[in-house]
Amino acid sequence: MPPQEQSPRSSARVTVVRILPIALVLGALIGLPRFADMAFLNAMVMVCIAALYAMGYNLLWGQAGLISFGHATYFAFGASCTIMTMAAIEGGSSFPTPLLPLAGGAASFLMGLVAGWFATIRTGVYFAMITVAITELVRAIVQRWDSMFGGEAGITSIRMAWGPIGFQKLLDVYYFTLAWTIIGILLLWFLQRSPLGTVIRGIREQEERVRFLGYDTHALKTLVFAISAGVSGMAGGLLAFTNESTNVALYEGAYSTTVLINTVIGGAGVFLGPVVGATLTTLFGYYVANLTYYWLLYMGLLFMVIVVYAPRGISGLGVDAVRRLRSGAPVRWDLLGRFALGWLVVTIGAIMTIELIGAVVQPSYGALARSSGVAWPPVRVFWVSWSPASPLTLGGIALLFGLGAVLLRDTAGTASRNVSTLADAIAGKPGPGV
Amino acid sequence: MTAPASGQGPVLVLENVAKRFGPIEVLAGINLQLNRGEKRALIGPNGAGKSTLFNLVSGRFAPSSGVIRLGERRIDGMPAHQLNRMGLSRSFQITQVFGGMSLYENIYMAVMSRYGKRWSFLRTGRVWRDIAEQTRELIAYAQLTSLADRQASTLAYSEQRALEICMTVATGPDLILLDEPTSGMSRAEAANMVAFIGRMTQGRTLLMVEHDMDVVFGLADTISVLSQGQILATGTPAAIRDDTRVQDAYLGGNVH
Amino acid sequence: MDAFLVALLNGLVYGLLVFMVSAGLTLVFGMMGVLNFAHASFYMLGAYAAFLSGRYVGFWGGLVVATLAVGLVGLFSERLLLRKVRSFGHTQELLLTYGLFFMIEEVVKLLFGPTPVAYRVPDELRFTAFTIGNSQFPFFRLLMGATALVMFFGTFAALRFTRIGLIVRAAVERPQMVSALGHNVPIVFSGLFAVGSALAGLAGAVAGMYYPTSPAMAHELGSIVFVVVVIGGLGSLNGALAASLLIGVMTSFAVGIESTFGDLFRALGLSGLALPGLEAVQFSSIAGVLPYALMLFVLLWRPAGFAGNRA
Repeated sequence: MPPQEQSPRSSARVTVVRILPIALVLGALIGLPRFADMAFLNAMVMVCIAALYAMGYNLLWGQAGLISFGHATYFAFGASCTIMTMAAIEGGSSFPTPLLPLAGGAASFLMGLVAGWFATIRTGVYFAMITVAITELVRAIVQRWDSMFGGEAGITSIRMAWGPIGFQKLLDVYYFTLAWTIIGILLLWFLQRSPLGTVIRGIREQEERVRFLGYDTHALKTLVFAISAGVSGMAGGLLAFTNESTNVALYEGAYSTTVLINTVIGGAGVFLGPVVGATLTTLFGYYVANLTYYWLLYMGLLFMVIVVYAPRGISGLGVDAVRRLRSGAPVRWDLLGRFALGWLVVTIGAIMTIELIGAVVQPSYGALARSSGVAWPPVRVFWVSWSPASPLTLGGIALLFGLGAVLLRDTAGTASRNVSTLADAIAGKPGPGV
Repeated sequence: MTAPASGQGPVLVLENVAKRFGPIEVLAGINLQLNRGEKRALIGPNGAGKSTLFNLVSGRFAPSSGVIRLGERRIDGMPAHQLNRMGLSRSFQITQVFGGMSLYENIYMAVMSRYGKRWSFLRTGRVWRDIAEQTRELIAYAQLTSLADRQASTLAYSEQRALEICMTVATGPDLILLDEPTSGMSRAEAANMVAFIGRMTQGRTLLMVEHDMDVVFGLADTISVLSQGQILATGTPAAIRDDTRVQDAYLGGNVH
Repeated sequence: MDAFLVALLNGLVYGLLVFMVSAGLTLVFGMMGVLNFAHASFYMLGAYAAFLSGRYVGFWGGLVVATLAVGLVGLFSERLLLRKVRSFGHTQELLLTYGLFFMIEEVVKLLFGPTPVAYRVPDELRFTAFTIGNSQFPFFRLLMGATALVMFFGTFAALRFTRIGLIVRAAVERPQMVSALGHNVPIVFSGLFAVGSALAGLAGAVAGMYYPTSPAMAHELGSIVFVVVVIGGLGSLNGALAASLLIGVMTSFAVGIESTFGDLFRALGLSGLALPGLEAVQFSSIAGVLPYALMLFVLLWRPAGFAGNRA
């Protein structure tokens, strides 16, 4: 963000504006158990873990400009090492239970030092490919080393009490996870504000310049990689602590993909952006995953839409909007409403299409068609039965997409334009090329 | 500003430095010596090997053979960050400043490195006050105070060039390498830049590559002429101006 | 000796297959600086396309359909999606292809389920090409290798001897310059992207019969292809070929070794060093690890890869 000349008074107001929402969110999180049921509290534990994981991940991307495609390794390794430590406590070790996530974090930090040293030898897409390869390497080893990592069955342990805290109730687990997530995020915040944080941003912008100022950029990038891995490992440790188990499936690509998707959706360029993404996808996943088999497909679609239409993610859009409001630009509610309606219509069309196709290609559907004697038995989507091949259904879907295209016609070309131009258009400002 | 570390003997010595890229020999046996406080310009027709020589000294490439010494120590093939810590600093022909940071932060980073604070998580202790003070002093000395809070990418081109020079000086080097410090500037801007560089590098040892002869004659007290990978002549500006071999090398390039 | 030859041939065939997929990836990157994460997905799509169309047009027809269909998918991905984010820079392109990789896998799961489909070598092709000692070398493996070789020489000839090839080679080196010379680089690039995808599709169509045709095949081969490209150097066909063959042969031999880590430790006099459970692990079971270990070694020894220092 471009620093602006501010009088002390206005900077104090800015501080309030920034602190207040965070304080409100924190208060809500702390008070949450009074209002939430068990299922929601459980979901919030997963949100905390996903958020911390994404924040650790984004240290590497948002600060150092390095996109890892294989962060599951450090998340999973943190989980494995935490569960091993839990088992040790169970076996009589005096390791204090509240510090368990640190065990995972430290282990992943050390692994990150080694992996990061290799990965940061090269930059750009090579870095991306090396992270993928290292993940595959670790996965291949871990999945065959059953005596250490527990194989498919995984390792299980239990949370041992520590002093007065029993760690048996979900409430304890929730506060424990929340506390460690906040500690982790604060750590990252201080790192970003520290002198080291400045140097790391310098590396992202002009690595060669930093080197010629006397900084060993390879060593610094290795350190950043390791810290990122360590925080991700802490998140993994929290998962192991919550589930009282881990297994080697954690090392698979899916966990690398999730964190990347969360970060992109939330926005890598804003400090708390990944938290936004992680919260959204985790909560959605928690409630929607029961409604559809194709949850991941929807996630992929959302990811693609964000990449193409909002490269700075949801928080980036939010920051733009706030800046625009502050600058006093009038809000074009008509345009905004049209875009919202357009996307809603297209989304409904997409869901109909996917659910219908998904239902029709199931083997059971073919069996149903044969047994019932109807060529296209009806499929339930949105609490209504649709006949998949009827002109009404197909025409309806076509109509939805057509309507969406009309409503969104101004965005059709946006892709080649800049998103901020689009935002300008929404705000009613004439921009270049509109 | 602290004075450059005192010491006797030449600051930079090149002995028989050669560089080959595959079968092409770009530099053949360069011998060069820079004394403390000397301001040397490297000139020569295009393709003479100026940039290569410059990149060898500044640690971008390692020489194919030969020895480069900074003070007493061999530096050929040494990575850039170590070179800088030993007292060699360079600027870039294409401006490399940190566009997303303020001018102050740009220079702060250079001063931090000079104080050895390259890994700091915390900002506690006296040294950080010194660093901030140094940064402010340097900015004031460079007469950039009014721009200190501006984001570097919003600065005018000549201001960015000035920032670049300022960062180069801020690590407190014994030897400063400048790569075409006035490239892309108008006559008037270049003249200002010459004065600026003169002020910023007072009493320091300087090696630069430059095309603009006004800049060369304005800044350098000795000149080395490079032609076809070899040093043709070294001497004072007046001597170089009158050297017939130099005239041939330049004119030979122009007359067909 | 026979076992050695068979292992060598198997390794070469696998290496050539890897090369078929790497070649497109490396050429596209060299030309436009786009690392196509979805490239291995095109390989998977090839297998499914051949499986699906083979029912109607037969085995050979299936190969043709798969090649063309995947080429079209590639063309559309480039023109409709990749081109949209070009102005946002390489990061966004990388993310887009990653999204594509993810989406293709999910769509295939939606249509065909997460488990392998029954795409098999047709009966008329199930015969032995030749025997080495006691080992029979199936015709089908030979066909895989031959396809890859034909493709290699075809690509090589096209790049070397045609005008388009000249432009592509020049554009890999200096895209702006070629554009400045008046060639329509975007069209050439779309074409190259489509051809690269088509080759990956063909490779998938051939390989899908031999290896399980499942949504996971993109991920499995994809990471190997990345290793090839890191080792061989992006933009270098020769580097990709060398790295592919090396990895193929290395993996093939490792699979044949029947010793365990325990044997190795004992041979080195390190039997005291018992890491829990590692003693009983066989070398053959970690053959899959070798390519990645090789990559780390190459990074140490020659950070810029076999060929070139394009970063």
